[in-house]
Amino acid sequence: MKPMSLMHELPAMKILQLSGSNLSSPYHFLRSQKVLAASRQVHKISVQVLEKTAAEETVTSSFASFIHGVRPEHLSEVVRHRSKRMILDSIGVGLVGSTTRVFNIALRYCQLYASNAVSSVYGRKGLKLSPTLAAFTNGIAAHSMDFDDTWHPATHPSGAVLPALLAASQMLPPSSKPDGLDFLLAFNVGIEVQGRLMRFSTEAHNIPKRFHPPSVVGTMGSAAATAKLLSLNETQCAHALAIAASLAGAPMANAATQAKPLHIGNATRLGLEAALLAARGMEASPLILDDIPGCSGFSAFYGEYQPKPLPLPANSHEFLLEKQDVAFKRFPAHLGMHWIVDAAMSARNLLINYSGSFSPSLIRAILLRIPVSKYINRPFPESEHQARHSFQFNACTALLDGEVGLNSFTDGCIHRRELMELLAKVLVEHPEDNLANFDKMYGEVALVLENGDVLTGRCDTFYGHWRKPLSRESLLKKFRSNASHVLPEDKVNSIIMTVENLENLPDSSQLASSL
Amino acid sequence: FFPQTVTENFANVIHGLNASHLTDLVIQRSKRMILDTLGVGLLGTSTEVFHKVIQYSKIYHSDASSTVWGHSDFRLPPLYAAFVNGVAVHSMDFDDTWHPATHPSGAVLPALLALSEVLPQKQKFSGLDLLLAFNVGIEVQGRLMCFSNEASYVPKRFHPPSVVGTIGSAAATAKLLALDQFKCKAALAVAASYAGAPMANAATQTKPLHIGNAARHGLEATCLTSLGLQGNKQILDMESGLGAFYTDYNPRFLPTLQSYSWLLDQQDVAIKRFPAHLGTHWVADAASSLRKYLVESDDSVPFSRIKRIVVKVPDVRYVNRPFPNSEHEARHSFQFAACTALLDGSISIQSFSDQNISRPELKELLSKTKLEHPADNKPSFDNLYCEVNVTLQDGKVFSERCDTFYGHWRKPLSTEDLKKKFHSNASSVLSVEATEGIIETVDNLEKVEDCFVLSAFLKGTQSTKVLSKMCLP
Repeated sequence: MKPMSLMHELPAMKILQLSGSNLSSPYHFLRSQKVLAASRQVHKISVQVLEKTAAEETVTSSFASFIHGVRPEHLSEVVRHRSKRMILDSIGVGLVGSTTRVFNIALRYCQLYASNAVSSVYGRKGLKLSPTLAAFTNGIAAHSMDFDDTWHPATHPSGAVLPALLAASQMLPPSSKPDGLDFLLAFNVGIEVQGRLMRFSTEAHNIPKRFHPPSVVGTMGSAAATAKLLSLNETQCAHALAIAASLAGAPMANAATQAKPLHIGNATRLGLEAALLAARGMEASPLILDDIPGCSGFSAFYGEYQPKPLPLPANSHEFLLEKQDVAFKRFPAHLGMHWIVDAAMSARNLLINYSGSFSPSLIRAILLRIPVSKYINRPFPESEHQARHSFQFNACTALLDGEVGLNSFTDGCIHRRELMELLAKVLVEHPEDNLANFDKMYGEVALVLENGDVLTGRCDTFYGHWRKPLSRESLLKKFRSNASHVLPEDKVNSIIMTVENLENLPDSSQLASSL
Repeated sequence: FFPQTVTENFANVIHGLNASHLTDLVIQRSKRMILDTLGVGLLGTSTEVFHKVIQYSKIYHSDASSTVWGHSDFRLPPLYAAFVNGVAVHSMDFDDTWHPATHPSGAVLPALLALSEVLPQKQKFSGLDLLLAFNVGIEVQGRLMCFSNEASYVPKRFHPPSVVGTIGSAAATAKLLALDQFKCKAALAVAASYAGAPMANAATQTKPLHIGNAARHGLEATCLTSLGLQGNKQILDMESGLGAFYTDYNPRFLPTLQSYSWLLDQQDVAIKRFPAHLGTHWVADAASSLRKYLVESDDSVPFSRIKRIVVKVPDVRYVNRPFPNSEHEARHSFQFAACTALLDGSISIQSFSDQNISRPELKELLSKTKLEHPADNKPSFDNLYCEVNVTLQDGKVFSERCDTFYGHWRKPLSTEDLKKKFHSNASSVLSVEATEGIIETVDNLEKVEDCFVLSAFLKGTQSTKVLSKMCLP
């Protein structure tokens, strides 16, 4: 692999001109907010009205109310005085700080963004963005429907790595484009690092509770993969990991919301950024993965932490992927849903055999036997994001329709009367032997009929799980179905061929440009 | 050779793996993963969330840009302006510190200033708008830190600016844009997914990025929220929300708006006199006081007469560095602060130059220095103290103690000294005119009609046109 000297070989960057103040701003979406604030004179009355409306129920909304409702009149003399001192000091410190080396590195990095739109965006032929932003958007796309791969211990490994590599492959000059094999290697480095890091804590084996794993290990994986693709030296690789650690970590609470896809988008973008910064000479803690009592490194994201060194590569290195495959999803929802759906379809078939057709009116109650995991236990989901993270929703959809697919999560389907009626019959049980762990869990759906009979469907391993992987046909079927939403058939076929022959591709940036 | 640390080992492996290490099975499986990911990604481009981020990211195509402090020759998109200016603020560990511990202003001000420059000319932000939004950003940080007892102590796990600073930046920028309550809530939620950097990167070159990123990511969260992005509506309430960053977490409501009491009213910040970790300020004051017992008539310290130096400080690992090797380490070293203050009488910006860090006389003193951690010396910026004991070769012992250094909130810098610090800092990159202009603008901030003038001064423009735009009464 040839070491890269990025900056000298990139196409000449246009330095931004000083912007004229009369250009219409692309930040028009922000403008409308300011208009609302123009009614400064009407403050007092409207503030009082706001405060009298429904009592704020949560701490979060109390914050929101405060931010929204506070006015200049609320500032006391002391507060004004002190805060002006702070502002002054902060500016001075910043100005002298602009003479430092670290500032210089950060600045040279940011100047890339002047107008360096070289990286492709999924499904948008002709649109290019700067590399980290392309990685960001593509990462978001990958996780936007919770349709991407899942590993054990739990994380979504590929979405955190691939977009960064695609973007990076396009930013390198023609003379140093990595070939397909380089690309594949870098990809595997990114996956491997994620897997290794997750083995530093037994916490990681179970469905997460605190930090969303892609935001923790995904960022590190992206940094590692990019560092590999860019052929950074050892020291730089270490710094890339350490810089990435300072960009890692998003709380679980944003799972099942629209913000969740950003976890992957940011993991891949910020890992790429970390590598780019390391390439520019940025330095960070050399002990980031080690256990440093009293001063946490990567251990900050875990309760208990036992780091282990990676075996040194001699002639062979055993990648984790060798022993532990990923699961591919058959429909766009949280992995846990896949067990319950297969179990529900079994139960549905039993009912059809029993009574000739699927008649919901025969059902008195639906018992779901699932592991304990708060963020996927939602009796009445209100949005597509919540629906993708609801055992109840997925079980009932499978019972009603005999399958769960892309369209199951549209607004129309989420709020169907027949579905709501079924949801109302659901009860949830957490058998002790049903562990919140993607390697061990099972799903059971028991239909308790009006006449007292019980029909039970169970699934220990769904089709697509690593114990029962999708066949090549099924995987291609999924790809075709997905890709054809935005690409013509010939493009779809050409991507399939390119990936299947990735090791032989002379210029891996072709993969990115074919999107 | 045998790797010394896990981190190094990872770096070695990342670097050392090559294509021949890939097995067939691994190749096959990973190609399946790549294919699936591409398909899923392509499909995902039809989602709403994707549309929003595209809209957001296209901004980087534009000519809209913000000031990079101290640079009139080019500008950056606001996100990156916030980033670099935030990095600048924390680059030397010279910025303000609060109690509970964080660096509040650097996470907020760069984001606000960058944002204020990209709205159309017709909509201007007054100094009072800026002041209010700034205080919202500070207040939110302070309130969040009250949710955990952990926060009252010098941090061990996450660097506080990266946690509360990101949320503070989101709050402040949401305020400046006058987002409605629902969007304010969403901004907090989205920001939480960007928060959190581990302490281990303190005392390295990456630390300043914690503030730069807090500023930038809070701003980004607000921008995404403006476009309609939503997150968890109870982000501050849940243990799996902001609680993820703390081991004990008890969220609390804010006071009523009827008579809002600001934390800044009750608790001031500390302003640093030299660019190093706050803990070193106690050490410097104690050591400088002690120095007067040691100096000769030519104002030098006969360091060879010193047998032993004991510095009594709380147990704060990341500031315990007996032999710092870089400026970043030196700024986080109790030992370095004690010896420098003993040698020179005070610590300044120049104390951290490569030359001064590697002075032989300093190294000699460092080798005679050790730390002690008395049980009553708590690692809290409100309670800690420093005692320096010097034992001479002839057996004489001198001791000095500092409970409150000058610049601490219990003994704030005078207005004169605050301005002096600003002058000294700003004049390294700005003209006298611009330096004075900023002092005057900030002094009268509530009356400034358009805070664009502040940004104009910051970039170093020297025109009188700017002065006339200040519109002061």
